[in-house]
Amino acid sequence: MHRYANPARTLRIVAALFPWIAGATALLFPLGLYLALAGSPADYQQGETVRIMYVHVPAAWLAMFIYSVMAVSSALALVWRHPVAELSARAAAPLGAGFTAVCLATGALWGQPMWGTWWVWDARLTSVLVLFFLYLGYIALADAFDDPERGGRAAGILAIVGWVNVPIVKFSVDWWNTLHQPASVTRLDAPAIHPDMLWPLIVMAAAFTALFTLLWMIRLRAELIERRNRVVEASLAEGLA
Amino acid sequence: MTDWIAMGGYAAYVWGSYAVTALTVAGLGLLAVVKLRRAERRAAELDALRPRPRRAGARKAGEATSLDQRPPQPGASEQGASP
Repeated sequence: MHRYANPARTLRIVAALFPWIAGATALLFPLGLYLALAGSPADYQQGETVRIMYVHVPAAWLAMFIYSVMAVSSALALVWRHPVAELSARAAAPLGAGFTAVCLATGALWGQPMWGTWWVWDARLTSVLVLFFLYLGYIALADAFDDPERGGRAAGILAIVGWVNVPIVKFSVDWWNTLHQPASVTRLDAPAIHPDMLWPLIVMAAAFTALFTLLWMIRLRAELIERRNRVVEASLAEGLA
Repeated sequence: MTDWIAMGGYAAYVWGSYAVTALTVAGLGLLAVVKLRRAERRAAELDALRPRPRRAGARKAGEATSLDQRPPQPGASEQGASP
């Protein structure tokens, strides 16, 4: 992990991987969208609304995954003073908030026709809403201090402590009676979903993950440049005074 | 084709979901690119401000507006100045 603590090395690695991730995103999205919207069957109970699953579920997976990325990055930043790790968490936060918002919005659009309601305060929906607020809290806290390092540290603690919500989101459907259905893909036995629907879901999940990685790399690069700018600004101000 | 667009009567919900997703993703992409461009522009500005040993001759007239022509007054950067 310490090998990536060098910002210049990180920038080089990001630059080397960037075209591959961009290419993967450009290939996976058209394929995934085709499979999701045309190449997969309608559900025998839910009809065509099942197609909402192919954006709703990948967004939900990313909502949990990105928060975990932030928590691990923040732990690295706090424990080992890893200089790139804090910026990695900062770069991920707005993306996590965005995908969580997509998850909530598409969930409402799926809930209205299938459950007869846009929203219920069941454990799954409520814990995802809490996840969304944790993202917003992280973003606000990280920028709330004049010294970005102090903001990063405070927000990092929130990211780590708030991670307790991720397993709650994941297992809420098993621990409580929820209107939301339990997991049908990540089960110990075989997935309870037909391969005709599982494959489009996997391709869309890969496409979403590639897209997140791409945007995260752009933001991380921007964060690294901004930090260097602050150092240069400080040294220039010193020289002028 | 018309059948496909109708989505079995659920067009608003299905297409609405994909539209919300597309708009959010486009917004996230735009924010990321704007952030990077702004950081790079600021880095270029700061680079131009850096004192260089061979600065004397090779400079066009229009470029002489920057803080490079120091010293104007101390604390001319963003901090310092207070109402």
